[in-house]
Amino acid sequence: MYKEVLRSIEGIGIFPSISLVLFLGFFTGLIIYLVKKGKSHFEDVSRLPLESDDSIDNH
Amino acid sequence: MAVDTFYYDNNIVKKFGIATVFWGIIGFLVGLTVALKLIYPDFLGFIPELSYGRLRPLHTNAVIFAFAGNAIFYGVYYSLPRLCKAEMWSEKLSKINFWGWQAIILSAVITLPLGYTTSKEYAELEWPIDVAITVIWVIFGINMMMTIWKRREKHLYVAIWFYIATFVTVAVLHIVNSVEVPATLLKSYPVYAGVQDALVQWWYGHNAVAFFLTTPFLGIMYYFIPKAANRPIFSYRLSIVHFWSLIFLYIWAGPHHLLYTALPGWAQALGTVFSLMLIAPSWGGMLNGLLTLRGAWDRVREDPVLKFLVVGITAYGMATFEGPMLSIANVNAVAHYSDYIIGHVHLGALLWNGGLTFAMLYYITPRIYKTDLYSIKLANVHFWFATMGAVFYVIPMYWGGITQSLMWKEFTSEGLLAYPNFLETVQQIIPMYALRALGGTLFIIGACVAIYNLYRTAKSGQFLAAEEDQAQPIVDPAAGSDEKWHRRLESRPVQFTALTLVVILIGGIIEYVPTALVDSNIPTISSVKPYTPLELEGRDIYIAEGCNNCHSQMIRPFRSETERYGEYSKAGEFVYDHPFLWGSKRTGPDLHRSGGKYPDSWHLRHMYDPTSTSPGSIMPAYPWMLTQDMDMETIDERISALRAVGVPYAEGYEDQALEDMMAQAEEITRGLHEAGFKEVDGIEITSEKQIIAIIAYLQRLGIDIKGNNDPFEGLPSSKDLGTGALQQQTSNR
Repeated sequence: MYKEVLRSIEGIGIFPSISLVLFLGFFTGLIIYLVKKGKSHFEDVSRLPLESDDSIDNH
Repeated sequence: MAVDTFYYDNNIVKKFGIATVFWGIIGFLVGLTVALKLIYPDFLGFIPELSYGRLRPLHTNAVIFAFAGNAIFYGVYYSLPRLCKAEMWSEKLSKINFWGWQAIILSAVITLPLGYTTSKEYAELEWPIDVAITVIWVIFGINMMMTIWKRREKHLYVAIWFYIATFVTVAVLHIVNSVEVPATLLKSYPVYAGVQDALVQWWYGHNAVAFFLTTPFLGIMYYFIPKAANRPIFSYRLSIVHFWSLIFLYIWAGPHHLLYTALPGWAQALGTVFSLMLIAPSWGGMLNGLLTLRGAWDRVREDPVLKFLVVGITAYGMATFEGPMLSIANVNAVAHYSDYIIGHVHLGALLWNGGLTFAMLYYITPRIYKTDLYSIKLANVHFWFATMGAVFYVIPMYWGGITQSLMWKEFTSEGLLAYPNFLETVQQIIPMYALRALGGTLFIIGACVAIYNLYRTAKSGQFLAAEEDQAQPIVDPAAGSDEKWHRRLESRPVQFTALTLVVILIGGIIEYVPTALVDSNIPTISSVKPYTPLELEGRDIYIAEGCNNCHSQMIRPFRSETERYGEYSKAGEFVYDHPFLWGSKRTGPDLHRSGGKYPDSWHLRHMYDPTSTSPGSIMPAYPWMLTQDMDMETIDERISALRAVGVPYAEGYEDQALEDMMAQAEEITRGLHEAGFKEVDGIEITSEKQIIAIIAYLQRLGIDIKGNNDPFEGLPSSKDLGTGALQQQTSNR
């Protein structure tokens, strides 16, 4: 009676694994990027909500 | 260089603030009402519109969509223009957003007590309101995206990312979960059935928590914590990791609401794994918020805004630790269906959503009224009432939930259930229900103090409808293209939104599509048949009365459950269930195998007065079922709608349905009369009353796998020489 359910999931097991790999790849890339850039790179944008307009760089 | 002068619209902020407080109090009071009904089942009794099953969805909808919903708009309409250095794109759309949302809430307040409901948790509203929600949500989205488009600040601050994710994901969730075929103006059936419907519903339900109660409030946290503490967020880099991991992982976690059910095992496992991983971004976000206050903790003692923010973020941390733990199968086995879950959600709702909302109210109100908060002392009083109220709410629920669940599972040394009578386990935790009502009352008192304080604050100031600000326009839109990707992405809203959509769709598609491929329209168990028209009417009454709020229809494969309720539930048994009615809470016992368990007369007496058959029961009485007529006029439309979603009723059966319905009703009524129930307390029992339909439905539940009985046998349509009630089986897959 689980035949229908089982049939539909054949080969499906790989799908979650693919997406997990995708996510871990993205995650690792993000971490590497952020570590490389360093804290100072984001200092100006992190001050955005605070009303010190002079620190905002609009290019 | 030219500097633009522009004005923030504080009017819309004020409106959403008032609406937040107004609906908040209503939502809390309805919550207190249903809490009292669990202690005094007759409280406001015998009025159908005020019965527990109808008010409980009103409470959840009011708190989620009216209180938290208006609070989200309140926060977005205040912070977004300020972060974009631009006024909202369209004042007209802001107004339509506001009044449209209030109209939707009002329609919920009217239709839910009248029994118009889809039964799907946090998606109870019927199809015309679903359409309205879509329209208003899109209007909000357009207004937000266009404001971002017209901004004067190149970089999108992290709060805005969370707002974008909220808009995009809620739109997807709402639309997918609301695909339904209307039968009448206020009645529809979902296209999904059984297992599929359950998976879609909890994919929606869980992500409603994620993208309605979490991401917008995280955006609010990322704006208001730095503002209130007057220092930048602890780590901007952490917020980037926080954002992407959170939205990617959250979307997968829904199946943890369906552990040990008939949902395929791989989907359950996926739900557990992703739920466990969620702890990382959730705690990353929490720590980012709390660590922003490094060196400013002394101010937390004095500033009510910071107090509410801190308690809110702390509660978020606790609830997001609890969530993954509850997703572990053997923890879930104990906590699911119990009051523990009610405690868990209220920890989040009262302190995280409530805390952040009140923090915003205390922050924004004095600023838009150009004054100081009327009384810091009263705000502190509110803080303690809210915190202690939540403690008095949550701890009894934990205690009661675990106690009751362990009682359900306890066996004697002879191997029999130690508490075979479900009511014993209910009676045991009634003191906890009383304490919970006390906690809720404390929380409401605190909220009333807050309203008074905010009102006095507004009175003492001068409302500033248009707040002036100045900023340079973005001179060169192409600037920054030499930046590395995330920094670049942060100044490109369209690409940002597209990437967000892709990220949330990955989980949705991979998890959902395989289950959608399960062909639920072909019986996987050949003896499982569609409902007869009378049973269908009974099922619709079951839905309208909200029986699923307290009764599950999903027996998990544990010995403690098969001993108590019977054979565990199979996926193939629900293929005609549009919608599924598995439930999520057992305030009363599971009903999946209730068919044939008691005589019809037992159900009659039980519905009329539950304590007559079950002394000490806290189930409300449904005397109106004996006097109100069932809906005979629309049965043909409902049969047609169900055929449209795939139930194999034969072409043209809708014209015979009423005849079948009445014949079956008369059969049951005759049986009741023969058993000596011609009348109950002077109320004559006749075949067109709702009680007959609900009896037919309850007696049908879970019996199909027990044998090859044909539910249509003996009905007028079965004597028809044509196709009869059901389509001929063309394949025997």
